[in-house]
Amino acid sequence: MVIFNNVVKYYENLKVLRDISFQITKGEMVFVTGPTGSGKTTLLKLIYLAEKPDEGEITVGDFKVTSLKKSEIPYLRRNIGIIFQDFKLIKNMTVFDNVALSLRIKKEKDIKNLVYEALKKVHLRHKADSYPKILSGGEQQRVVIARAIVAKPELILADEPTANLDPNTATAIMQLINEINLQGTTVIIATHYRELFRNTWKRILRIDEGNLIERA
Amino acid sequence: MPYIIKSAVKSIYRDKWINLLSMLAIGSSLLILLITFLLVFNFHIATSRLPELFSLVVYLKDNLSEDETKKIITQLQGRNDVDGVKYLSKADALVEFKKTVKSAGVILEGLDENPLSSYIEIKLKKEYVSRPSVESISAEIKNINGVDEVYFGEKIAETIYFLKKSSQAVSIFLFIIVSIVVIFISHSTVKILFFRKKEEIEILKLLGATNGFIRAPFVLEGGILGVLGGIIAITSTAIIYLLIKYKLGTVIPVFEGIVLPWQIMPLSVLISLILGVIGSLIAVGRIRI
Repeated sequence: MVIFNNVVKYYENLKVLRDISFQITKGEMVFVTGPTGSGKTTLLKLIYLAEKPDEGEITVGDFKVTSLKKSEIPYLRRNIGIIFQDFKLIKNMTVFDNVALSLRIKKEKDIKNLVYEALKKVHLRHKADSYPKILSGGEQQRVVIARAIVAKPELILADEPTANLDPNTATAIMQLINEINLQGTTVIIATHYRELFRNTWKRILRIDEGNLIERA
Repeated sequence: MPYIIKSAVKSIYRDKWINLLSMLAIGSSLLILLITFLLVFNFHIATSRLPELFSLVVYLKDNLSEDETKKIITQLQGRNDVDGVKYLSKADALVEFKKTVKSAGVILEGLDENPLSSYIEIKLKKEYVSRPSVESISAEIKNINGVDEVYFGEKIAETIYFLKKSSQAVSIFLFIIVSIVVIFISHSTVKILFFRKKEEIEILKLLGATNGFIRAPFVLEGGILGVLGGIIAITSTAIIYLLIKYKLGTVIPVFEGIVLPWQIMPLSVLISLILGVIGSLIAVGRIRI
């Protein structure tokens, strides 16, 4: 599903990722961990091409990410559901419209049913007409998850999905992500919270000073 | 309602003050253009009657036979630029002179013979009443055998030509200026809205929106601003026209005859729509993923 081959990324003269290679198979759930500023977010950004690698090759599903034309980038992103740490919800759109965006971009039909189905999964069906600003942090993160899963992507990227959330809400969010993975969606979670993966049997990719250290 | 339309309408409502200001600015610019058009159009109607009053006088040589005179008349009648000819013999010219000049008797006193030449008065077709054409026509006629001299009201021809050309030039100039102004206003408005929505655009890009999907609501918004500005302009023009015709016209009769071609109204809105779209297209043209 996701293949990194000798990927190198510089920020100005600083090498943030050094010769990174790994492979994530379809349906896997993988944690990318490491201290703050270690390059976890950069690694995710390379997958959805918010950043370009300086060396190496990246493949996501059928997309050779490193050789994609600018005009093809939107089509790569439509196959990826992204859960952002800072939510990235559009403030003047209702919860329904925020979730529906992914479908409208893909010109999907039956938007209403698909949105309500996604909102039901995150237990926010009753908040469909609310605006993000009146929702709690946990609720906003659940809206983001609904938006990420509504178009049924094969890959979900979650960047610090529980940051700024209280422990109970964080657990609930992780349960949700687990459920999504159990339904066959590949999930990559970037986090520095050890609690999220302390007792898990999932694969962990640790980045330390730009080097990848993998442990099962 | 499709997302793009809904998004554009919502955005206009959300940023209603800046949009209202833009609409008024577009409306005012178009109003200036429409009022100028109204003036030029009515001026054109007024000046289009002037060429009917214009004539070219061809003086014939004294010793021409009747056949030679007829030949010249036929030759003149056959020209493409001539609308009609009127021949006056020496005797007719004298009668005409006495009719128009009251002191003719005093002037002609002591002269044994009629000093006037026979002449042909030529009415040119409207489209030929301009100084350059009249000059070339008169030069051609002057070369005809038997023609002594050709006279025309140079100043009248020149004035008609100048007024027509300058009014056309003024309207073309204003049209260009107003077009640039409308494009600039819609461009600036959309650019401001574009920057205000930078975060929203960033999110759309991350969700996989194409440039077209992101640009479309902005372009539509520019078009709507253009249409609404156009409607403001035509409504104001209609009110001004009716006030001039029916209020001012009762006091100053010349204004009663003012004409407004109503076809210009939908055309103005269409032009405004196109200019609004062009402005917003330029504004969003730099979106890059």
